[in-house]
Amino acid sequence: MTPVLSLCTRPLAILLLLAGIVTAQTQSPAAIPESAQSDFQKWLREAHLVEHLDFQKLRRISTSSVTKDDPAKRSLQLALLFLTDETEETKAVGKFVSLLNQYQVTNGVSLPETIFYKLIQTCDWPRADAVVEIFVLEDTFAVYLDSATRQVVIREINQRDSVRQPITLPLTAVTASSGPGLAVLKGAKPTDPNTLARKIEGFFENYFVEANRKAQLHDPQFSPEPIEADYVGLKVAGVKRQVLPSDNYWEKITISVEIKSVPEGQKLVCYLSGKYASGLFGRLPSDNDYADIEESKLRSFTGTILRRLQDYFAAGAP
Amino acid sequence: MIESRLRNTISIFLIVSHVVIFLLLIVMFMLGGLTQPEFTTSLSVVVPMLAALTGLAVGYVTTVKKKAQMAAFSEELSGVYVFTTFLLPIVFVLAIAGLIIAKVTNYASFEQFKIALAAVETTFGAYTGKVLASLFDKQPEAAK
Repeated sequence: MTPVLSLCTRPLAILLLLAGIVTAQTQSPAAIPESAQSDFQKWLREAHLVEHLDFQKLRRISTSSVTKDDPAKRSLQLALLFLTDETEETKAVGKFVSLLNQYQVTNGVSLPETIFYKLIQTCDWPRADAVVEIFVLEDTFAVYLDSATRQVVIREINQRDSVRQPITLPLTAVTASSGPGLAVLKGAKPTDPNTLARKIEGFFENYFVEANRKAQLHDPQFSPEPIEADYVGLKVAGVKRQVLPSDNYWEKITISVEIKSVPEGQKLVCYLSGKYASGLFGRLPSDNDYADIEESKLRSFTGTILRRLQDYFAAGAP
Repeated sequence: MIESRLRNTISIFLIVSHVVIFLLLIVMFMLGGLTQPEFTTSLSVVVPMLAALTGLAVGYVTTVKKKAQMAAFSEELSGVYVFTTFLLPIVFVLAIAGLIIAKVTNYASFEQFKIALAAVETTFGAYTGKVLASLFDKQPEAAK
């Protein structure tokens, strides 16, 4: 019996081992959602960015986890082309920087970060494994999460798929202290680096649970991303009348909050995306039935929820 | 059952069903069971399906204004004919209503709903049309 068992179990053990190795290496989703490309292009149009940025490609590449420090080796890659009539490199880059500054002044948030978070929310991808490449004539700028500083950065890279040297773009500082996607929490930084992130995540969860209880609905479904000291990622499904208060539709909301240290305390930059679908009673719609929620309605909700978050922290975040 | 009674019953059933299905779609849309694009698509698929059958009934009703005209159809019908004439339209209408309920309660996705509607139309629509055409084909003038 023993040799027979051994013969049966050995291939099984090898298969399990291989499966373990594969699972350990592929933390990112297996594929980009089918609708991701059209959803992203639609967002570019709605955000009036198509006049400046042309969608080139969205792809998933197979990489090993060893090369993830290199932005060009990240498995989710979005390529955009900066549209310009300039033929001289320096002038084209100057125009690109002007666009970034203008966006930051108008919206209070950084355009590269906005595009980056829209990408990971649309594709449901871990932020450490995604990159946005923006071509400005012969130059390429990569927007990605820098593993050393834990911040989303924009850097120039060369054409040979390796980081050349980081250049600092002369971007304008955020002028608005609190816009629709911004909130400043005053006070000293907590001693445990993850405390603030946990509190923010807890606030969002309580907010939606209470809203559903008031509406006599079941508790929402939460899919939190692993806690990071400077980032909170959370997907909420099974809520109604949050972003679209006048419609009785199911809503699915994806929240990404970046926590940045500023002299006054901690600055939170919130990126929200949302989808809605019809349905009565308790059963949730299938993923394919969801449609995107308009940007203007999301902005209004982002402002509301961040004000509530500020109040929560002002009251001592019990 | 005599022919005039069967004709009247089926006519009323079809006309009422048509109105009820139409109102059901509107009410479900207003309650949030359908989004606007889903509502308009559903209307454009469901209403013509029923209209073809209801058209036969309405055509009959408009030709029998007087009771005497209706009395012309007093022949006794076979049991199997009456059974089939009742069964097919009832199943057809119930299937459409059931699919709408399944969609608004998310037991079916919108894609599944559209495919199922097409299947119901193919399966029952053709038979129902044939049976109703045989029932409403004879004009009262011919029976005078």
